[in-house]
Amino acid sequence: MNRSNRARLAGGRGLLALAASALLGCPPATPAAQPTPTPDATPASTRARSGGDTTVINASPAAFAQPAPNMSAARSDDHFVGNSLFNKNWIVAPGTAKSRDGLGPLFNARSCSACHFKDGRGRAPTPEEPDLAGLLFKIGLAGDDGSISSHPLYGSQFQDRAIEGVAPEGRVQITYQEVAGTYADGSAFSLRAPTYRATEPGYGPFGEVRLAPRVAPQVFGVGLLERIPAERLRALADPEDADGDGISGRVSEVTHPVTGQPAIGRFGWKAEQPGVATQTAAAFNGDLGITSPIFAEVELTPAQAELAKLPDGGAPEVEPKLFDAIVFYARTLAVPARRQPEGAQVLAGERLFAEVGCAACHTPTHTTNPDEAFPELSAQTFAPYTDLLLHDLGPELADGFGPAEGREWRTPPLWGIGLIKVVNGHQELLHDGRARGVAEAILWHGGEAEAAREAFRELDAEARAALIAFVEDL
Amino acid sequence: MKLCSLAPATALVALTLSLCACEGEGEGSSAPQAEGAKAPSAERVKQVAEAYATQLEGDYRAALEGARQLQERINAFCEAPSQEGLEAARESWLAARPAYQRTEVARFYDGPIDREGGPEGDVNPWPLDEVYIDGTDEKPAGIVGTPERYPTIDEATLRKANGAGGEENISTGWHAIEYMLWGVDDNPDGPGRRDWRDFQDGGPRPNPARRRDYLRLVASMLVADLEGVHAEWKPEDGAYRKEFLAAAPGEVLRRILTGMGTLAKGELRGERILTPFTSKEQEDEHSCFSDTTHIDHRQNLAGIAKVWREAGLRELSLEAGFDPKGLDEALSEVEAAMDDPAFKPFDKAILGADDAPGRKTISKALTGLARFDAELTRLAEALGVNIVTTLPG
Repeated sequence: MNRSNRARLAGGRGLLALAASALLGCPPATPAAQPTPTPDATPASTRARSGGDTTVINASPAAFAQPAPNMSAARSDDHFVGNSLFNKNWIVAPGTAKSRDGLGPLFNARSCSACHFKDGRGRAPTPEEPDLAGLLFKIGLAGDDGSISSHPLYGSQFQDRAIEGVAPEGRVQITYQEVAGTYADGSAFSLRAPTYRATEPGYGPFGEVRLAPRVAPQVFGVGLLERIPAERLRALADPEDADGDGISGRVSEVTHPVTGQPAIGRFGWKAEQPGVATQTAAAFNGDLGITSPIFAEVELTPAQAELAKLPDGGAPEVEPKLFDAIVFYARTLAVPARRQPEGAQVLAGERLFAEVGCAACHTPTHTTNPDEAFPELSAQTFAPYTDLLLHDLGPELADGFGPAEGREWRTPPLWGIGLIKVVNGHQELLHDGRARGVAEAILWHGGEAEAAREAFRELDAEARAALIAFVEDL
Repeated sequence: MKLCSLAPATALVALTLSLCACEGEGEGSSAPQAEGAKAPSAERVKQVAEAYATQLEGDYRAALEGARQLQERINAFCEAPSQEGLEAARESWLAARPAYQRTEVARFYDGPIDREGGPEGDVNPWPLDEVYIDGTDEKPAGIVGTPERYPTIDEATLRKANGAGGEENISTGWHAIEYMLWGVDDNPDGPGRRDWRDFQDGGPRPNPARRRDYLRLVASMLVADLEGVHAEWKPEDGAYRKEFLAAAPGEVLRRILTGMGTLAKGELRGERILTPFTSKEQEDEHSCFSDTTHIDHRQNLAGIAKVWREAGLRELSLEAGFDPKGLDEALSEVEAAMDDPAFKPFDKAILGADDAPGRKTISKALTGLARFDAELTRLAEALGVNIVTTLPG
C-alpha cells in the first residue's frame, strides 16, 4: 500500500487511533482488556488491511459495524440512515410508522439485525435461547425421483413466525448427533451432525418435506465482493477440472431479477443472488415479508390465499429511498483488519493453508476496477479468501436443494471469521452453524475439498493449531 | 446496540480500559500530542473532573426528584382517575425530562448509567413499539391487553420483557410512561390524546386495572433506577464518583470527551435528528407521544454545553494551547438552530421540501453538530486523548 493510504489510516479516528495508541507499549493490564490489539496490527501493515482502504482496526464487539473510513461525510450520513433502518423492527400494517410497516404476514425476523446481530453472524437456536432468529430454512417437497421442488402448501421458505392472528408455517426441531473421528496423529475429535424436523404445521400436511438450513452470515465487505470483475471469476472457474487438480469450481449462472439478463450469482449460500441490492431485496421479501422496489410481492401459496387480503404497508413496503440506504449501508461497512498477520504461528499457518489446498477455493485476494460512482470501493485490493464459485463439498453437507443433489456451495469469504466470537459470542460455522469452530468446519469439507481436508487431518497438532491461528487471524 | 444500550458494547470499553491502566502506570499519554499543545496538569484535570461530577450529580438529582414527583402524581391519578390527575402527571413528566436529557452527556463510556448491567436500557429506551405495551384502539394487545400472555404485571416481568425479541419491544422507562400518559400520537396537530377514562374502572377500554398497575410500576422502576445511578455520583459515598476522580488524567478526559462527542454526533445528530429528518417519520422522534422532542434535543445540547462552559473544560483547553473559537461557534450555531421556532415541534419540522423552514433549520443543526464533532476531536488531540464518537454498531 502506498504512503498516502497509510497516512489516511493513521490519521483515522476512533478505535483505529485507539488501537494504534495502545501500541505505544501499554501492557494489557486489566482483566477486562480483551480483545487486545496486538503489536502487529499497525496501521502500516498492508497485510492487515483485508478490506483495502475500507479497513478499520477494530477487534471489539462492534468490529463488523463500522463505517468504511474512506467515506466522505455526506455519504457517511447515508450510511448512518441505512444503519438505523437495519436495526429497526418492522411493524404490522397499518402501523403508526408508515415507512416501516408491512411486516409479514409470514416472516422469520422483524429486522435485519435480528439475524445479522451487530452486522454479524447468526446461529441456530439453543435450549437457552429457543427464539433466536439467525438460522432460517428453505422448504421443499421431495419428488419420486428425489428432486426437490417448491412446497405446494408452504412455498420455498419456511416462515416460523407470523403477525398477530395469523398462524406461522411451523417450527423446526433441531437435534444433533455426535460423530467421532480421529486425526492421523491419533487425537480424537467429534463433529455434530444435525437433523431438522418440521413440526406444528400451520397450513396442512408437510408430506415428504425437505428443509435446507441457511445461517445469516456477517454482512461487511459485500460491496467489494460485488465488484470482483466477472472476468476474474470466470478465470478462476474450472468446471470440467481441466487442470486436473480435483477442484472444479463453477460460476453460478443466474438470471438477474431486475434486468432479466444472465448474471453471475455471488451472494447467498448457493450464490443465487447477483448483487447486494437483489440479496437485500430477497432477504426483505423472504425473511421479513416486506416488498421492495425489486420484489413486488411476497410468496403466498394457494393454502395461504386468505393472507393476501390482509392490509399491506404500501407498494412497495420499503420505500425506494430507504431501500437504497440499506443497500448503501451494507456496501460501505468497513472490513475489520487482521490482528497479527506477521505473527510467527500465523505465518506458519498461512503457508500450511496454501500447502494443504485451502487456498485453491478460498482465493486470498482480488482487486476491484476503478469505479467513479463508488469511490470507497474503487480500485481496492482486498483479501476475502473466496472465489465466489460453486464447489461440490460432498454428500455430508448436501441438502438436496438445487443441482448436483445440493452438494454445491459457494465458497464463503473467511475474513472476519476470528472475530465472530467477539461480535456474536459464538463460533458456529458453515451454512447451518453445525461446526463449532474452524477445525470442525474444515473436517466437514468433502467432495472437491476432500483432499484438502485429509491433508489437514494428517497434520500434527502444532501444524493444525497454526493453520487455525491463521484462519482466525483473518 | 445503539438505541438503548440493551446490550452494552463491552469490548470497546475493554480496549480503552487497557489504555487507562497503562496511563495510570506510566507517564506516557495515550495519543501523540498535537503540535504546540501542552498537556494539562493532573491537578487541573482533577478540578474539571470535580466540576463535571458535581454537574452530573446535580442533574441526576433533579431528574430523580422530578421522577419522584411524577411517581406521586401517577399514584394519585391511579387512585382516582380524572382529567386533572392525568394532566398533573403529564406536567410532572415534562418537568422531569430536561434534567434527565442533560445527564445523557454521561453516556457512552460505561459509566453507571450504561456500563454492563447499567439501567440505561430500562430508563430511556426508544423508539418504542406501543402495541408491545398496550393496544392503540379497542383491540387489546401487548403486556396490558393480553393477561393470558402476561398473567402478572410485576417488575420481573417488565424487566424481562424489555427488549425481548426486538429492539423496539420496550416495556419500561420514560417513553413507556410517556405513551401511557399521552397515548398514541395519531394527532397531526399536537401530542397524543389519551382518554383519562382508559384508566377508570368501567371506562371505554378493557383492562383499566392492569393499565393502572402497569403505569404505577414503570414509574416506581424509573425512580429506583435513577436512585441507583444518582447514588454512584454522590459527593460523599458515590462509588463511581470516587473511581472517576481517581482515574488517570488522560482517562478522565477521554470519558468526558467521549460522552460529549458520542451524544453530539452518534446519538443526537445521528439517531435523533438525521434519522427522522431522512425518514420524515414522526415515529422516529425521540418523544413522539408528547411531541416534546425539540426539548429533548435542546437539553441534550445543554448538557454538552454545560460541560464545555461551566465545568471548566474550555479553560483547560485554552491552557493546553487549543483555540476554542471553532468549538464555541459550532455550539452557538446548533443552539441558534434549536432555538429557532421553525425547529419545533420536531415532527412538523422534519416534513416538507428541503427548503421548508423547518428542514432548513434542522440542516443547520446537523451541520453545526458535525462541526462540533470535528472540533471536539481536534480538542481531544490537543489534550492527548483518543475518542470514539460513533455509536457502537
